[in-house]
Amino acid sequence: MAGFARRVAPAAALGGLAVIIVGVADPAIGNWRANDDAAATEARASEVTASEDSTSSDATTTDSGSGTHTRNRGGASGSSTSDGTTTDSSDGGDTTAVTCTSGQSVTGDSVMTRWGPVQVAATVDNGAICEVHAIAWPDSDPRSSQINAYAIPYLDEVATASRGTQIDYVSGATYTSDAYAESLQSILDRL
Amino acid sequence: MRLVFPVMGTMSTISVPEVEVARQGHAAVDLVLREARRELELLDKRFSHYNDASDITRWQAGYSVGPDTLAEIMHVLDQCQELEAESDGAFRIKNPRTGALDTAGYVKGYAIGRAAEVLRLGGLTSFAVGVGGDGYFAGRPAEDRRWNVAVQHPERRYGVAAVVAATDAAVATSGSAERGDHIWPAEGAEGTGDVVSFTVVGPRIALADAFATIGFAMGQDGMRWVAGHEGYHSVVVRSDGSVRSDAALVSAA
Repeated sequence: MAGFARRVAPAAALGGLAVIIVGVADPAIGNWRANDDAAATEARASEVTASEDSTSSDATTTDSGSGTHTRNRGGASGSSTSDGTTTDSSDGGDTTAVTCTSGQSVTGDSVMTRWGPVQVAATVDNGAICEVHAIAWPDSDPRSSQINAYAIPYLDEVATASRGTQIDYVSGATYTSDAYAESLQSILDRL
Repeated sequence: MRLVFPVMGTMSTISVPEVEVARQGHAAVDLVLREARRELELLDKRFSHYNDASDITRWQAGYSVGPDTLAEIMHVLDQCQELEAESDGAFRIKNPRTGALDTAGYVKGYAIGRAAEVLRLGGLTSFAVGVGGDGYFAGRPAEDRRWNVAVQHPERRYGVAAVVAATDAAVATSGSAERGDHIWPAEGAEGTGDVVSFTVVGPRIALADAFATIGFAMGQDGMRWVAGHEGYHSVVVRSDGSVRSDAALVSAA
């Protein structure tokens, strides 16, 4: 395995395998740090939740029929846990709501992907983003439609919840996240 | 400065922090970004199995592709073969259903690594280059923090499973939610158990990406397998919502 990272002895690997159950669904999480030597990496458990009615795409989407999903949102009723709060969302009853009581809606640039445009809008209050939601995304082919039905509410939540902590990238997300981030960036650039 | 463009059937994002842009100059950074994009597009053309005109397709059909291209094809095939042997077949160089050569499971990570190399050669020390949810994160986005890479929770619609703070590190995720279908259960493994996504953090993106694929295919045994490679760590999300990791973790509080 010359081209690979040097393999460590199995015993050492097991000894250093400080498996931590981060238990994002466990509200009793406290401060802790693994005795790990990975200086370059840290990970932080964080959980975001949202009230169903504020981000359910089912309730707020309309198909424009043009291969692009668009939606209009009424008030700025976004909610999520504030960054750094770990909550038990297993019963959906322990969500910390952050409500944007005032603010103006700002629309980001429309960013073209190979399947169609992605565009987000944000509610901005005093120069800070309260809530972010996609207003357009590709919906023309079944695969994109399937992915985005999942990805868009997720991205909305990440973007909204991360207004305190800048999220630079989402690992595991689909192509949509890059276009989403680009549209959101165009809003951040204007703040 | 950000550059977002479609490549390899997905989207790529290259970000350079403003401090770095100020240090290097806008025009210089812009040029380096375009070089990195060109590299990704070139590798896409070279290794696409969906394009009859790609180098690897032409090489398979018996055409001459030139020494440089041939050397790179052989390098990628070597790496895929090593990964297949070392993972007991969890990583496959050929699609087990069709028997066709399929390097796509390695090439994306490899291409990100090459793009990162171009950015470094261009003089940048802080940048992020990602393709379709996997990325390499060099330096820092600002003096006071590392790159924050959110690990997507693949099942909970609103979930961030964890945030990895990365500097000079690669982060790659495999899971049932991602686009693509290069994941098969390892020989003898019972499917992927209740592991719904497998993220690997480590120094090299090509390996981190392949290790994530392998770790996901291995299911329960994946984390221990990855830990056998110095410098590589896992973040494993299970269907019950729990997240396990052997990386240095700090709670959000």
